[in-house]
Amino acid sequence: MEKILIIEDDEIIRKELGILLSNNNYSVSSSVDFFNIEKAIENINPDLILLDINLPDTNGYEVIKKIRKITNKPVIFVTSRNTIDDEIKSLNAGGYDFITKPYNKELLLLKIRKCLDEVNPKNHKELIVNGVSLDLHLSLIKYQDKEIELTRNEFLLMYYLFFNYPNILSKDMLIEYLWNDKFYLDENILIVNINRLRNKLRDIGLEDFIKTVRGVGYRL
Amino acid sequence: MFLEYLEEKIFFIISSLLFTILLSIYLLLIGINVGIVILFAILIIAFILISLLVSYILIKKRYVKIVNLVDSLDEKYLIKEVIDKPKNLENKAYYYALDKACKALNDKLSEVENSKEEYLDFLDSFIHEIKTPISALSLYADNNNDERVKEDVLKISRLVDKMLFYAKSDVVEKDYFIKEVTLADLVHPVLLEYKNYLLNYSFKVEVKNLDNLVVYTDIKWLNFIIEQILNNSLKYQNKKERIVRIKGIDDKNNIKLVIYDNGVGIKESDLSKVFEKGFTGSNRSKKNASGIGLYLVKKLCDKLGIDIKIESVYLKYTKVIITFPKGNYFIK
Repeated sequence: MEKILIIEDDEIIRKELGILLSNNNYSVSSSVDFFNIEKAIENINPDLILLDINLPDTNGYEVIKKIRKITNKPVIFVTSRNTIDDEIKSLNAGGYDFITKPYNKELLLLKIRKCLDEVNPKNHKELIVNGVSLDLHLSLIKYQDKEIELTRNEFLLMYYLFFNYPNILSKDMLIEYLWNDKFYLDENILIVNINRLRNKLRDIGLEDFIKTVRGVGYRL
Repeated sequence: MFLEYLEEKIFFIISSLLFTILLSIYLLLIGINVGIVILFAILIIAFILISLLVSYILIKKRYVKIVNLVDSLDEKYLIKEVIDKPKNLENKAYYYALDKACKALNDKLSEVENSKEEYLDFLDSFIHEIKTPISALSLYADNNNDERVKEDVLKISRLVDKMLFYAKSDVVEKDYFIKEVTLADLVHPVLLEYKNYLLNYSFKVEVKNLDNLVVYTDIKWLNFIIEQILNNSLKYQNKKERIVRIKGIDDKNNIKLVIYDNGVGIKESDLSKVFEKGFTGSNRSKKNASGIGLYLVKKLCDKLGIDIKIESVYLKYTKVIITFPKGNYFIK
């Protein structure tokens, strides 16, 4: 599990942010010892740090200087002032990205995911489930010696199903993921797309590869 | 104008004529030849006329000069600095009054400017502060899956933003950064923000051709502009099958972003007024309409060098077309 350190002075935000990130399978810790942040970082060794710019008696730019002395792990700045000034300053200070309050949940998770993936590429070319492989570069589904090409949207759908195997993916979650990837669909279109995918899979002999879990969602 | 001048000098003219007549009578009484007296009177009158004419021409010249100066000046209250000091006693009084008035105006102006700046600073830190509890609430609603609260929190957040953007709209250039962005970069964050609303009210969202089209603009201001437009699209809906269509068009000389909805639309008679401040439409319910949104959008588009147009057929659809100039000559 990837570890995220939250550096933020508002207690409620710290708590709620912690819940949100743990619900999304991150291990979360936080620190309010802004002047001795090095210690916390050495103890926790986070994969990513969320850093508030406005902190009592100091600020995010000062804190990141201390962080940079001991680690190169990515820092995402958080601020309630979305001025260009803050954005430039935070990127100059060595921040990986910049997000404004109030957090858009989807955007926050997206930026965190993107950041972690980019810093630490897993380099896998394909995902395999039950002998069926999904080629991440060529957007292909391969099964035995047959393969089919996927459209961009079909690929995204398949990707999240593969990625979450063997868990069940609710329709809401799937829709959430797909919106983040600029595929703006609703439940009806989701169902249409799933059915179209099933027909395609049937062509290469994959019957019932995408399973419907009644009242919950889908799984492979 | 000459008549006006004569009217002004009427006292002088009458007294001169009176003087001439009296003098003529006197001359006649002491037995001077009638012919000589008439000649003499004509000479005096001619002399008066000529001197009136000459002084009129001089005054007219000065008059035109001052009027032209004022007209050509952008900041009229600086006029005192550019006109010549008068020599005439009466004009000196006016000059004195002008001097004092301009100074008082300038003082007042800087006072107003200072207080506006102070107000902006206050607003900035106020909004900064209020975002913390808003964020906390928003996260709380997210974590507890409370859509109702979430929607209202988002509404508060947007209203707070609108206030800030409105306050800052006069000084866009102070917080303005042009970079290369795709149309998708401009639209995507807004759609994500409205995701729940769009899904809950079963909008059909069709997005086309945004990923490959690049424009040069400020992403933050554009997000705000698109948000205002989308907000209207969602707010004024009357159809069962609700559609929002957003597409990019690559034209020869520019890039267009078209935001279409099949909602209430705008009456033809209202169409030319939608960008006016305080205009809330003659058909729409005035509830929750401030008449600020589109006014602000237009103002910002003008400042950012973007064209915005609205086409609509009442009760059928509304189509907002934002046109970006092509090329990056802006930042060269």
